[in-house]
Parts: sequence; structure tokens; C-alpha cells
Amino acid sequence: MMVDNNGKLLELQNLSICLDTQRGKVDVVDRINFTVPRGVSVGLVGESGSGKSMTALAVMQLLPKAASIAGGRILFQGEDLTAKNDDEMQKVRGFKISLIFQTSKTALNPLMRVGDQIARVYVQRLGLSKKDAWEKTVELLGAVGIAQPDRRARSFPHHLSGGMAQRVMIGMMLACNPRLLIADEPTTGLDVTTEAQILDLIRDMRAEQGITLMLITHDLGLVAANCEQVGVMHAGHIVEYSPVRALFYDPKHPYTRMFLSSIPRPDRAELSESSMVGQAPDPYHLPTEGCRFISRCPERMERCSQPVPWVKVDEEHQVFCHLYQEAA
Amino acid sequence: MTEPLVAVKDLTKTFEAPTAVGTSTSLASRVGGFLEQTNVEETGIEEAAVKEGVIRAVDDLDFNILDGEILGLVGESGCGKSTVARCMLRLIEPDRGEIRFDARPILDLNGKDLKAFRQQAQMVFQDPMASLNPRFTVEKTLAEPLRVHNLPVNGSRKKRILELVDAVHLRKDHLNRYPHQLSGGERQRTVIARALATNPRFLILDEPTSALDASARVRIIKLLLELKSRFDMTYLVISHDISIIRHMCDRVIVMYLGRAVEVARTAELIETPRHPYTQALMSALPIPDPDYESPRIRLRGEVMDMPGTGSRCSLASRCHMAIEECSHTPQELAQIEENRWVACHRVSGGQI
Amino acid sequence: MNQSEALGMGGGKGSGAARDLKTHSSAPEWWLTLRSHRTVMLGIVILTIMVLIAVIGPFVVEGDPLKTNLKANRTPPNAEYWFGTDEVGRDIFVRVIYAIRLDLMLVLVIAGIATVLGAGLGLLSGYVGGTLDQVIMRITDIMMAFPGFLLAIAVTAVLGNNLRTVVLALGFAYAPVAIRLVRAQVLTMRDSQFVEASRAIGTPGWQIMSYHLFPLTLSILLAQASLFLAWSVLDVAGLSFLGLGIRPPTPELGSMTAEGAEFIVTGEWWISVFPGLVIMLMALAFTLLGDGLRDIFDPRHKG
Repeated sequence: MMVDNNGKLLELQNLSICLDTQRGKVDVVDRINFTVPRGVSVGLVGESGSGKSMTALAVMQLLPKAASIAGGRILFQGEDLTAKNDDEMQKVRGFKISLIFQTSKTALNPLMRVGDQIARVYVQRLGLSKKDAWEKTVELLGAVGIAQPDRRARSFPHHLSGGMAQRVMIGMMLACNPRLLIADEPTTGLDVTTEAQILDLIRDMRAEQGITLMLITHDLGLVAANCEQVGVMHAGHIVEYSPVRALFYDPKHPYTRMFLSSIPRPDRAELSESSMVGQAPDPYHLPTEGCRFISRCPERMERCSQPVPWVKVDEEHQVFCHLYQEAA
Repeated sequence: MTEPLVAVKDLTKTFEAPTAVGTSTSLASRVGGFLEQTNVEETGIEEAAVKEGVIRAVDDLDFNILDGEILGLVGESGCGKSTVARCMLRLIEPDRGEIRFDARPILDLNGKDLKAFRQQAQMVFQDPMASLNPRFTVEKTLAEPLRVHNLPVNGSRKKRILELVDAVHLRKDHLNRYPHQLSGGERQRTVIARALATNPRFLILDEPTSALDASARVRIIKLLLELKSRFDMTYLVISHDISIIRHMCDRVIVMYLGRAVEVARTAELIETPRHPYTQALMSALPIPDPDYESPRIRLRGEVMDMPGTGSRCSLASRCHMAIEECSHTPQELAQIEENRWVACHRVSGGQI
Repeated sequence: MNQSEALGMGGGKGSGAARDLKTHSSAPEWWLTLRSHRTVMLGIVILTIMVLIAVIGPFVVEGDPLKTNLKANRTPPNAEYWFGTDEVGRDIFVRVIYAIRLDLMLVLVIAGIATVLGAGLGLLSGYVGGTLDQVIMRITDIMMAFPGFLLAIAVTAVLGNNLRTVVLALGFAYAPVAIRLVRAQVLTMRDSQFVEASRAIGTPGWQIMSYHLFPLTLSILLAQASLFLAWSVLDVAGLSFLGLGIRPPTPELGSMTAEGAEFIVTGEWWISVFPGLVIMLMALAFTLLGDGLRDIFDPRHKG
């Protein structure tokens, strides 16, 4: 059937994304390597501007007009997505890979009833009859935890709360049973209790349908609770890739360490001493070679302006840093 | 006992849905079609009729803020905390109730007196980008409160602006920048500096860190704490982010659907929440620790208001501990320990 | 990009702006954008020429616009009379120069009245709201039911046929458009957080209107003002064509075109055509400017 890739569901190889702005070109993503193994939920963590959302869009080939893939490959089940044209990608979106993003009422058409929008998916993509599609829609709404699904299907998006709207989106995205679900900040803006409910829902549906999750977020708490493997992104680079416990208990990259220690936590009363120093580097003046954390790194060395090695420090744990390069 | 700096009593504010000014969309949607959502079988409450009517944003709220303390107001969207803040500053007029600042009632103030009050009580709004005029430079933004109140009484305005810029750790060259030329953290500082311009005694901080990146939040918290002790102020911190509350507040009030459900010292509230809603809230917090385990307390359904809530506990239909009584009697805040108030029949009845 | 695209339905291409990245201004941004709009530049060029003509023309050009010379009447354009002469021998070129000055002044006053009224009433109506708003809106509703041209005719019929009446009538006739425009802008900004922040500071209402809101409406208002200028060129010309407003022998482009119209059939086309062309150019220039400004300001800066 599908060309497999040693159990790697998604693999980004040397992926670069370039953004064309009024003031010049920006390498928002620079030669990253990232893997989502089948069945392993992976997190991609970073602050705003780190390039994580662009990465998600690139996988779906839904980059904005000003952005383009400047190099590298995106392998999904062994096939290179960058080589596909739009028609071929249409078969991938929704069917093989689904993307949900930040809850937004505007993601749903305000003029169409909720049920109609979901039913459309069934009709257009799965070829169901209108009657069957409506039945499945109501079933789906119930499955995502919306009470009185029949009634809810007949109402309009502005009647939905943020949490409900997000559930509807999740339902729609999973309707076609994709293999990979990319969730980009799926709960930002939602209340804490709703957030927990949404993540529970995602977890349940994943288990039910055997979907692999790639969670993109800036919230380390979410990562801790939902991911098995984590990649940390900074200024277009993936600086660390490790199992989740290793990330929190044995972070290797100086940025990861600084990031971990700089976030406020409800379970600790005192503020940490070492909060994040300085600001994210200016995207227009990034070094073309070498480390992009160099301006803020407390452990920078001479050779940090040289091309940075991707070093394996442990089983499934890799760091993008000169500090760990063995003199081998 | 000393007189509190701010005393709020019986504060009530009702909006007519769904086009009420100042409500969040979740408030509006509470009255839209989804009022119909109930758990009929579980609680035996008859299906509520949809009323194109009234949202009780704030419902009979009482609390005090002591001089020099940092009080936190916590709750999820639609709980009324933003409305409370706006009532306290007379940006919205409450329907009922009394607010005293420094022992003087403020709800009747007008004209010069109101202006004088505004000098004393200021607010840092939620979204720094939205609360700055996009065509004003930082300098012009900071000049506004000084101009309006004819400050400084002695000395040059420019000098005062420079003092403010310095106090929030901005630089002189920020003065000529426009909001879109500043980073999120710099905008936040500008907004803080503006609030400090009139040397207020009382500062309301509405979600002071929500618009910031995770790593910038700590810096702003530290700044706010520094400013508080330096200028001898009292804070009311409104947030849905418990970590901020943890790091800043002495006491916390938890709000749900316009009412206070629990009041306690911060550490105690977070570590041993007593009210079922607070318990659910705390258990849902994402903790950045993969080994962290805590029993998740789940509330059924979503935040919703129902007509006739005045006659029952507003959490009844969702609560994991609800009993018969909860559907017949509204909850009242009762003191169960020194420094701990809870509005729950079962807790105050000593059952839990 | 919306969810249906992500689902693989609808358009497959993503859309939307590039990420928000901090910029530091070098050349003033408005100049850069202005330069990239060819049509606007064309309008500006034409206008600059006209303004120059209006300001220094009468000093530079020799000749009296009112001086008749029956011996040289109906002369076609030649080396001496660049635009020819009219039926009483007046130099059309000179008359056109003086007419440009007059017309520019007129349209500026008219557009000025409409814009000032628009800004003032629009701000009040939008910010204060309530009964004042209702009253102003009903009045503008009524006024907008009549095209400015007809309104001006009616008003001059009632109040007398002179220049002042025409100017005021047109100014008042256009004002509702500006009132609505400004009011709409104010409504979008009235509940924004920076206005709320100003109220929290204690800024009085009138200061919020003048200090915050008015400058933010300025860009749209100026674009509309350019369009007012274009409309007034045509309306003043049209009215004087009908004999309202300007009386001969004052040189005015519309009346000159009117007087010359009857001579086209006898072959003396220049009497009508030159002033007519200038009217057209003026209207074109203002329109290009106004449309262009509106394009620049509207989608980029929302308020």
C-alpha cells in the first residue's frame, strides 16, 4: 500500500522556509530535521516567531503567498509532499493529515448552520448522500461531547462557545479519519477547564481512531501532559529533540534550560532567578551560519558562529549545539 | 481593624443580551441558543426556556481590598471579573451596590470629584496593543494623563515622562516609537507607565501577562512587584492564569457566574482548594512536569447561566458533589476557617 | 487560511498576510506607498500644474480676461491667441487661466464646508450617540435623498442666484456623505480599548473626540474631500452652464463652456472645447487622487 519509512509517519528533512516581506527575505525555518514516529505523540515547542506554525503550514502545503519552501523534503509515510501538486495535496488534506489551529469563530462560516458545514465534508469528501451525511454529522457532534447534537447541528456558529466551536472543528477534521493530526495552539484563548476538556477529547479520539498527534504550542504544561517526544524550536532552528521526561529533567540546550526556568508556574511560589534574557533575535539580521541563540546564550563560545552540529546525546535525544560535540 | 482601601458591597450588574457593551463573546453566547443545553436526566432540572434576556454579569458581590495588599480575582470567561473592574473605575455603571474608595463612596461622583478619583485609581488594560492609540508615540501616550490632570504640579512634563520611562525599564529612544514598532513586552510597559503617570494609590491589572510570550511574563511580574513597593500602591490583579496569581497575590477571590465562590490566601487556595469549582479549576491546570499527577476533577458541560439561578446554586447542574439541597438554595459565602470563605452548602455544612 | 482549506476543501492555496515583523521606518511610509500608485501620481501632477497656474498664472500672463476686441472675434487658435478668441474677441487662453483660479477657489471652499461639517457632526453623532445621533442621521437621510445638483438648483431658486448661495448649497449637500463616513469610523473606534483607557485616565469626551478620534478619521476624510473637489468641479460647471451662480462676464469654466456651446455648430469649436477640457482634467485629477487615497488608506489602515 503506502511506502513506509521505518515507522516514521512524518519526517522533515533539511526543511527550509523563506518568507518574503517588505523589508527583505527572512529564513523563518532553516534546515530543520524533525520526525513524528507512528503512534508517538510529538510536541513542537517554541515562542512566537520561532517558525513552528510555518512548519505546520508547510506540511499541509498551505503556506501564505509570501512564504515558500526553500529547500528540503517533507516525507509523509515515505512520500515527499513537496513534490505534490495541489490536486494531489487535496487528497492528503483531511484524509491523511489534518490540521486544527487556534480556536477562532471565524474559522467556521458564520452564515451556514454548524451541521451543514460538517455534512458538507461528508458529502464532498466521502461521497455520502445528504441524508447519510446529516446522520453522521449528528453522530459526530455527539462523539465530540456536544449535548443535544441534533439541535446544535441546526444552530449557527455564533451560538457556540469557544470550547464548543473547537470541538466542532476537531470533529470536522477527524471526520475523514486521518493518520496524523497536527494541532497548532488548539487551546490558546480557551479557559483552563475547557482546555483540559478539549485535550481529553483529542486524546480519546486519537486512541479510538489510532491517530498520531503532533502538538504545536508554547505551553510547556500542555506538552508535559500530552506528548511523548518533544522538539524545541528557536528562531527557525530545532535546538533539541528528546523524550518528554528528558526535556524537563535533563535539558541540554541552553535555550531549553533558559526557557524552562523562565516560565511562571502555579505549583511554585518563588519566581526563578534566571528569567529569559534579552529578546528574540531580529529576524532580518539572523546569522546565515552558526547558532541563532548566540546573542543570548550564557555559554557561547568562539566556535558558535560556525555551522552547528546536530549531536546525539542519548537514545532519542539530540541537541543542536556546539557544547556537546565530541572532539571525535 | 483598619478601614479597607476599597470596599465593595452588593455589587450587581446586569446586561441585556446579546448586544451588551463590554461583554465578552462568551457572555453573549451564554444567552444565545445554547442556554438550552442542560443535563436533564442527571439533575432533574426542567429544560430551561431560552430567554432573550438578562445576563447577570456580577451578582451581589461583596469584597474588600486592604491598603497595600495584592488581591487576585480569578475565574474563567464569563465570570464577571472584567465587569467588576470596570464598575470599580466607573467605566460601567452598576445597577446596584456600593463602592467605597478610601472610605468615600464613589458611585455618585461627578465632574471634578470623579476626575480626582481617576487620578487615584488607574487600570492597566488587557490588550496592550488595543489599549494604545496606534498613531500616538509612546511620548504622546504618556503625556495624555499628565495633560488631563495638569501634572506635574511643579517641574517639567518631559522630565516626568522620562521618570516614568525609566521606572518601567524602557529607554529614552522608545519615546519616539509607535506601538507597532514595539515588542509585546515594551507595549505592556508603556501601558503600565501610563497608568503610573498620575501616581495612583490603586491599580487594577487586567490580565497583565496574557498578551506576552511565556518567557516575558516573569519579567513583567517582577516589574509590577517592584513598582508596587516602590510607589506604595495597592493592586487588584485579574487573571485566568493561576501562575500569575501565585506569584503576585496575597489573597484570591474565585468567581463563577458573577458570584464569589471562594476567598482564601493564595498558597492555601492553590494547594488545598475547598470549593468544588476551585478544585476543578486547580486540577485542570497544565503543569510543566511530565511526572505530575493529580486526580482530574471534571465538571460536566460548560459554563452556562440559567434563568432562575437566584434560587439555586449556580454550579449545581455541573457539580460533582451536588446534592438535593443544591438545587433549591442559592450558595452563600460563609467563613469556614480563619481567612477562608467558601460558598458551598456541603463545605460550609461541614460535610466535606 | 481557513479550516476548509485545511480540510482540503475549497481553494488549496493559502492566503493571508505575512507574519507580523517589526519594522523601522526609513523613508516616510506614506510617500513610499504614494509613489507606487501610478494613477494617484498622475492626479497629483495634474493638480500641481493647475495650482501653479491658479497661483501665478494671472501674474505671468499678459492680457485682460474681460477685454473685448470685436475686430479679432472668433479667431481660431493661432500664435497670438493660443486658445483663440470668443464671440466678443476675448482671449480664451487668458480667460481659462483666470477661470482656473476662480474654480479652484470655489471648489476648495465647497469641499472645505462639506468636510468640516462632516467631521464635526460625524464625530458628535458617532461618539455621543443617543438622540443627537438620531436627529443628525434623520437629517442626513433626508438630504441624501436629493442629488447635490438638484438641491443647489432648488436652493438658488429660493435664496437667490448668487455665488454664495451656490457654494453654501453644494457644501451642505455634500456634507451628509462625510458625516456618515466619519460617523462610521467613530463607531468602530468608540468601544475600542484605547478609548476606554482614555476614559479611565479621566480624559473628557470632547478631548477624546478631538485628540484621539479625529486624527484617526483624517485619512479617510481627506480621500473623501478629494472626491468632493471632483464633484464640485462638475457641479459648479454644470450650474453655471445653466446660468446659476456665476454671471458673465466673469470667466468660469462652466459658463465659458456654456456660452461656447452654441458656436460649435458654426464651426468655432475652440470657444467651448478648451474650457470643457480643463473641467474634465480637473475632475479627473481630483477623482484619481481621491480614489487612490481611498485605496491606500482603506484596506491598509483600519481606522
